[in-house]
Amino acid sequence: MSGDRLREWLDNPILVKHVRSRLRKQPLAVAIVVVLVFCLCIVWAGYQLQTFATGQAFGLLFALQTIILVVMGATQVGSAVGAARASGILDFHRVSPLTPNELTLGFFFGAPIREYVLFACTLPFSLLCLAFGTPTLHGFVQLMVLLIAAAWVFHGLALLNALLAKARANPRGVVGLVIFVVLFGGNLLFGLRRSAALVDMDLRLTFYGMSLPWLAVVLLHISAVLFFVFLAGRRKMGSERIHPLSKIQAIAAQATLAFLLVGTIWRRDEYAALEIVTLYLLVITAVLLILMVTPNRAEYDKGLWRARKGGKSHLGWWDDLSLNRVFLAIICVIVLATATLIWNGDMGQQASTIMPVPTGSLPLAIAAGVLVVAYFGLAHQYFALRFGARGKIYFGLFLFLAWIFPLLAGSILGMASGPLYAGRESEVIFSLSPIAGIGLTATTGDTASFSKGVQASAITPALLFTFVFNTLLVSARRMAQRAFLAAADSTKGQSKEQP
Amino acid sequence: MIKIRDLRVDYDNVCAVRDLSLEVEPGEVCGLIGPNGAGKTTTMRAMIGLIEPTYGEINVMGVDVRERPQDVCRVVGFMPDFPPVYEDLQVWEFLDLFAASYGIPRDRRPLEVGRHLEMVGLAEKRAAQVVELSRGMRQRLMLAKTLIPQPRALLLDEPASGVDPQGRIDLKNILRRLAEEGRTVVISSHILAEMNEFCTSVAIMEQGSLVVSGRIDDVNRRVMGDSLLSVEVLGEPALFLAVVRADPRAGPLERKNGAYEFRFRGDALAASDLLAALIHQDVRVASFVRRRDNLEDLFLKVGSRELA
Repeated sequence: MSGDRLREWLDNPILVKHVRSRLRKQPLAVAIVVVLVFCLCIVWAGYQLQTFATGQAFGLLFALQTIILVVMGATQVGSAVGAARASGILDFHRVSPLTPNELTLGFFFGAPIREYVLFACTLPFSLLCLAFGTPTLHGFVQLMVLLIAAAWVFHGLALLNALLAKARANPRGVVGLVIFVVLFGGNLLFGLRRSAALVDMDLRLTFYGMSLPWLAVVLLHISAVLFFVFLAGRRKMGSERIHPLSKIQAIAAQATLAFLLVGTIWRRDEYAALEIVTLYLLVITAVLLILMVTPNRAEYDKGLWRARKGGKSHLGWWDDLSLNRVFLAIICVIVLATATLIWNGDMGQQASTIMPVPTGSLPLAIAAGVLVVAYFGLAHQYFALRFGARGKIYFGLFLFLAWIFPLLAGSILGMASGPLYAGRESEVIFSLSPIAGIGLTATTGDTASFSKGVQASAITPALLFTFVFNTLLVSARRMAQRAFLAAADSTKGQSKEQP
Repeated sequence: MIKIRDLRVDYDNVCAVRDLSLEVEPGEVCGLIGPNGAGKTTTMRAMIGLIEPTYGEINVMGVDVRERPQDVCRVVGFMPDFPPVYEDLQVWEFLDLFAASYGIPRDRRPLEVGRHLEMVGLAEKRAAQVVELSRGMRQRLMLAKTLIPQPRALLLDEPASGVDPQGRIDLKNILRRLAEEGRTVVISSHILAEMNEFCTSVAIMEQGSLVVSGRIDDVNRRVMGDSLLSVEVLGEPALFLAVVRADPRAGPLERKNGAYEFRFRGDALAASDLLAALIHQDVRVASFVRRRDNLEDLFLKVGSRELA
């Protein structure tokens, strides 16, 4: 990057704004003193307890760095964007010549600027640990790269969440941070204390059969996530009333995930159960993408108005304001193809050595997963189209009854049946919910007497809901179109009456 | 010039603006008037590109808002009714942020910031924290922010709300000067009496539709059909009454505060003819005032007719 380009980039007004407001001398000095005291305590404890050589002192420092950069940084990004959005000042930026890219990058790098400075303050202490031999320089660099990449993902997710969530005047960033630290602080500390030992093992992962350093594979996944999160953030930064991803972008996101997942577990027979994890990942991603691209009733009507003005009966299938049916079909095909490819890729491999091979019916689990994606998308579109703003409530109720209630009922039945019978009827009822059903279908072996019941209760509701919501959506669409035509005719009549 | 054609904006199940067409000439100060929920703010937000219309064309200073949104913001300044600010910045830093956003070179920024702070009367507050400013001061700061990129068109949504009397006078003067410089201003406000003083044209909205628009005189003529004459005569009014009643352009007379008031269907020339006739008949005229209806009258008349 040339000097001029760098200067131009650093002159990003949003970045400069955060540098000014977040690096004021007094609050910055206080924060630095607190961090330095923490670091000195860790180093002193490491010296007293002689934990430098074992890497535990470094691990504690790494935990502190993670909290500063990942947790506090993400909180800052979320708060800054949320506050700018709630106050309405983000609208000013939207109508300034700043591009959505500049805006996104300005908030992304600017909001956590104090956290970057605090992180930099901890680095000399990490280097001190390095001098004692643990971790090695190679491991240290790997960990730092991973930490920064992970921080960026969390910052990106916080930014996107702030742009998608209901705008609040007072973002609850600090409350979120406290809850996070209370819930996960202990585990985080415990896990990160051993980080130094982990990186020095020089682990390698395969990607489509190629053996690569673990960090390369992880960075490949992180860059894909970061790219699509940035893309969504950039779109929302440009306009409040736009879907985070267009239908094409959402399909690209699902396809990229599929490509990466297939590559990562390609012929890894020692982790056969990863097939089920992959299936869940595909379904969860598809569900999230459906939520991002499905238009509500108002948007659909807007699309009809726009199409009518352009002399068409409806907009193209790829338009943001069009129904999600074609998109849904493609997403289902991607989930089906990816899961089938992974399943076929693993067929004939040796038995799992680390995680057990599923003994149930994986094809049936794949079918259930695809149908779940299909009916989720159809139901979401139906409720939005049929009930307008109230559709979200009804859709939530439907999901509760179809996804959560079977888990509750199964748990109650399991507890009531006692330990001897537990796991039979309850598993059949659990399977009614796709949250458990997909996994149980794939793992409940043929030897189990109730395996057919588990499989049937996983696939039947999925099949039924797909059929029912498809039919309902067709009628809801007709109804919406009739209502639109009536409104359009009355508007036409009104405008004719005007002198 | 601002040109809107067939603009429609829909929110969730609500049509906020319905097939609105409007033209505002350069150098005009157009008052966008209407009750709450009439669609004024939505129209302004669509004009700046903050809201994507359902359909319709908006062209501001030759720039199509939908096709070139990034160019529109270079020619239009928008000031919303409630001024959002970064409370953790100082006053000069806030303006500097927007000066930088609009591409004003780094070395020119301090000068521009100082000049605009001076213009809105906030020079003394240059180093103050924005959080310390009162509502009126924030409104002034927002005006400075809006003017800093030298926009050719200004969209001001309730700019005088919360501003003290001195601030209103300053605002009025600034707007007059901007109009003299040939900039197009669209301003929405509920304080119709004040708008009356600097608006040259008017657009009255009701339930998302444009009821009437045009230069104030034209609209007045179309809607009210006449002007109001207020004449004070000395001595016996019989002669005066006879002359006026004989003129077919004069409406029914009404006595108000010692003067006679009546509607008169005629322009300034016709009014001067009537005055000449009165003097010719030896009517002792103490005062002769021809008054156009103000925006408040106009709005009430149009609004009541529309609602009826």
